[in-house]
Amino acid sequence: MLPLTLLNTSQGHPMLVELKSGETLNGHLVNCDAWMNLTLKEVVQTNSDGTRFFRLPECYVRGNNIKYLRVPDEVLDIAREKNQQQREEQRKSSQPQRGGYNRQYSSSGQRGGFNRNRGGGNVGRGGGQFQRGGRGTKY
Amino acid sequence: MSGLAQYVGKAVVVITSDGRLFTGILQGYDQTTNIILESAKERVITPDAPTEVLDLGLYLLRGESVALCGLVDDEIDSQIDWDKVRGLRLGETKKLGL
Repeated sequence: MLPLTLLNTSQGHPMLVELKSGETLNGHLVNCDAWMNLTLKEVVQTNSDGTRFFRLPECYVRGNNIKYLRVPDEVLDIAREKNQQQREEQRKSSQPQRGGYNRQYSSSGQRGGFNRNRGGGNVGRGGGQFQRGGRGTKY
Repeated sequence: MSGLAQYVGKAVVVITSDGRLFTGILQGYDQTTNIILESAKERVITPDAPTEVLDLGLYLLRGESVALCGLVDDEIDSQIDWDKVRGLRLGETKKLGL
């Protein structure tokens, strides 16, 4: 599983973020992105000695300042389930298109030129990036 | 084969750039060496006290803070009496230049 998948799944869950400076932030993850930038709400900030505490209603953390995140154990299970569901949906959505010969032509209403016949790229082949390796593809 | 792929699902030890030592099960990683550690534990090794083990749970380590990730040999690891292990605190690593 990808770390950022886990992070995405953590949205809405409480977490502890330690920054490179040693400060920690305890709060609920509101949002995150591919750079690990975060927004947290209901935050308790602790200085690096752990001697002072500050309460912030909300804060934004630029990803590059993060050392690590501590997330609740159950988030991993939730993320695994989500992954599994997505895989199944991809498998299902690819099946009707496998015999999708007709689709390509009927939808266009034309005989279709050069590109059109070949085209459809992924659509016609029913291929997402995960299709090639069949069911057992890991990612 | 090289890279972290071969460690996925196995017990690993991670040393971070601030000199801390974590163990856990590697559940995932990415191009920037962000690491998912399941059942993460921190081993605090000090010169004059038994090794302290902190149970931390699920951790996501940012790649920049990872200095080392190694596969744990369970057989050897089980032979180590961590209570008797003493050692100095590891130093930090420093990034020079950009």
